[in-house]
Amino acid sequence: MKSSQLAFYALTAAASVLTLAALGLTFFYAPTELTMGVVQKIFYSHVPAALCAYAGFIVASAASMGYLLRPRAGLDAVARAGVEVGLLFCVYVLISGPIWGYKAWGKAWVWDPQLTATFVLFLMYGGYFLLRVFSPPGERIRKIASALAVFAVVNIPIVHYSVQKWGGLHPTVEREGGGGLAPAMKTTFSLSMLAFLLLFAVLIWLSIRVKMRETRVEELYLDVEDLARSRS
Amino acid sequence: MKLKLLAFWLIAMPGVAFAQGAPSEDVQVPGGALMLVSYLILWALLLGYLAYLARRQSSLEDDLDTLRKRMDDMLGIED
Repeated sequence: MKSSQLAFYALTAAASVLTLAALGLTFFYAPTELTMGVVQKIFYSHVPAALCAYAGFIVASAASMGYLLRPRAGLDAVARAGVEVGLLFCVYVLISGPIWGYKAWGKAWVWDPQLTATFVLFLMYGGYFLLRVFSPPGERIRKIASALAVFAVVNIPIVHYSVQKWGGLHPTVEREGGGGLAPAMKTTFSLSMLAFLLLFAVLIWLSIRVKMRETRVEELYLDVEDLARSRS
Repeated sequence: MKLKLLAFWLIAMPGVAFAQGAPSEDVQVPGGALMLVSYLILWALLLGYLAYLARRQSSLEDDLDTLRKRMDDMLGIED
């Protein structure tokens, strides 16, 4: 077995164990918050998912920047994988947030600065995703998409610091101005964060592998076409 | 696949805007149910994405088979 395969299996095993442990702590160990009640437990998946979305988009934008400087098929594959996995977590953030808000605020959605900025982030990388899905493969599209990914990353600090800069209804908890967490909540939150990051690593690894193979198969198709033309 | 994606986008976008007008003040749904729904959606998304990757992988294997047969035909290699 290759060392990379071994590393992947070890990562998957660690992610599985930690995810189960995080779920166990969330449901059976973390205390129920006094004002919001049990719905507050969404926090243990909502915040880590938001960080995973940031991570996916940052990976995508860094790879896109690399692609613009030195076009390589591998970098494009990493960018596509980063956007896909980032969007997956971003969609969850945009679903779990309103579920929590429905109970806590009485409204599923308000145009609060952080919510709106997260929605704009989703639209920007969603645009990248749709551009790649609906466009034929080609250098020009790859470069346009890369520029979009680099441009969109500017929105991540805006999302993150929007609560501090513009206030709004979104709770701050651990960040500046927040009330912090009780020790049992902090333990659960830290473990959830670690579990989500490992889960993110597994998903992006798998996704990059599939994208690399897609690129390779596309190249093989072109090689076979060239061979067919040269023989006819 | 592309049509499904487009349909999702067309439904999801106005959905967010309409959600703003959701009933307020007296929310009757129990918090536990909302929390469970949230975690179920998370698992549905994760498993759905894994299934999508597995399907892409198997379709790539089919593509490789097609390419191999095409190459064999061109080079006159028989099974």
